[in-house]
Formats: sequence, C-alpha cells, structure tokens
Amino acid sequence: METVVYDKFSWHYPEGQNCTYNEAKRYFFILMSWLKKQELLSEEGLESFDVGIDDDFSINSHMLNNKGNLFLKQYYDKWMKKNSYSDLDTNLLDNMYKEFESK
Amino acid sequence: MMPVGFAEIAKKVFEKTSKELPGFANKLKPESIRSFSEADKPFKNKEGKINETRKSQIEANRNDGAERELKAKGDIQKEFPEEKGYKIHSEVYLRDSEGRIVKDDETGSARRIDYLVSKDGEIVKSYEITSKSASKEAQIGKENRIRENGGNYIKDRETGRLMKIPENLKTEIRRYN
Repeated sequence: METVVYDKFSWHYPEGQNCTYNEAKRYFFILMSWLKKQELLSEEGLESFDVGIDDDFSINSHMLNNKGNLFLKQYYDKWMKKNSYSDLDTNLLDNMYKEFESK
Repeated sequence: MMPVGFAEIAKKVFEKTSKELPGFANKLKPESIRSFSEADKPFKNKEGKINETRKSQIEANRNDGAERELKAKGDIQKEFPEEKGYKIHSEVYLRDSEGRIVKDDETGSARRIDYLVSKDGEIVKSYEITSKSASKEAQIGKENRIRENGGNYIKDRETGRLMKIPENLKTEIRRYN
C-alpha cells in the first residue's frame, strides 16, 4: 500500500527556514488535534498522536481514515498556504470541512 | 554619557535568549532595536498582520521537504525494485518484541524511521532522508538508545507482523538539496 506523506516535522524544523522547534510542534499539534476532533484519524493516527509530537513526527496516509485522506488530499495545500507559524486558523479548516461534506 | 536605551537592554537579553527565538529573528541586530514596535515592523504589513513572505513559509518548507522526499523515494525504489522482491516500509516506529512503541529515556520521544527496505522478511536497509545541512546527530543518538533498550522491531503494515532489525544494521543518512 503506497504511503502518502502529507507533511513532516523535520521539513519545517530543522530542515526548513524561519521555523523553531516549538513552532513546528505547535503547528502539528493544532492540526492533529483538529483531525482527531473531526474523527478523521485511523487507529495508527490515534496511536501516533498519543505517542507525542517531536522531530520524527509526520502526517501520512496510514494515520488517516478514508474520509481523512480524501479531505487532506483536497484541502491541505489550500489551508497550509493561508497560514503562518504564528497565526494558525482552524476556523478556516472548519469552513473547508463544511464545504467538503456538502459536496 | 549615552543613555541606556532599548538597544543596550535588547543586546543583553538577545544574547541570552537568541537560541530560543524563531529563525527569522537571527536577521535582527540587537543594536537596531530601539523600540519594540520598530523591531516588529519588518514582519508586519500596514494592517499590523504578519507579512505574506512569512505566511508562505509553511508552504515553502513543506514543498522543499516533499521534493526531497520524492527524489529519495524514487532513488530507493530504483535501487530496491519490487520485482526483485524488495519491500519498502516508510514512516515506521521502532517497537519492542511485543509491538509496543519504545520511547527514548533521555528525550521521552519515539523514533520513526523514514525508510526501511526488506526482502524475504528480512530488513536489509534503513534510511533517514534530510537536507544538505540539517544535523541528524540527535535523532541517530535517540535511535541508538532506543535500540539498546529493545526497540529493534517494526510493524509490517500489510501483514501486521513484527520484523526484527538486524543488530548490525544502522540507519544511513541520505542528503538532498
């Protein structure tokens, strides 16, 4: 089964620019919390989130259920583009999710 | 006598805390900080919101990383083709013989390896993918401690079976632009 990696902690810190360890951690924590709240995580996703977010963390297709994968494939890029490390907008995720569900 | 201003105070504080500051702050010169609102200006637009350049940083970092990953994955797939019996496992945690994820005592975190390659049920390669300059010492140190502590297995997602990583197999670091 092909693995789709949506995003990785290390791409932001230490490999990326203008991002601290804590900013990367906050970014993934907020995104994972939202995915959990919407029940879009698979068993593996719940296990990963429970283990914790550190510099080895990633969000990949095995961590999401079918609905979660469909949603991230369609909306992750759009959401990411409209955010900064210091200004993460989960209301936008809510709105995108409403749009996704209405299709 | 020159009055003690923000610049002097900022310099002292900056020297103490610069390691904890966001990366973009490295471009700041403490002597130039005469007021906090002035110092914030380069990062904000007229409406006082964060600049677009900073806003697109998440996207830039993610896209650069994804590009490296794509190159690395392509190289590994070429070197270890499925037709020759190789199987690639990506983003897998180190687990103990009972299948539990093992955490490092020193950092309290787990270790997830970018790529492992197996053939006939045996793991033959382990790779960590990174940029040209990022240090991976901490992660490899963590991996060594976890393995010494029994984290020598990964779970095959397709079969659910645990696979043991040979004792002498070390993770190789591959660097890409």
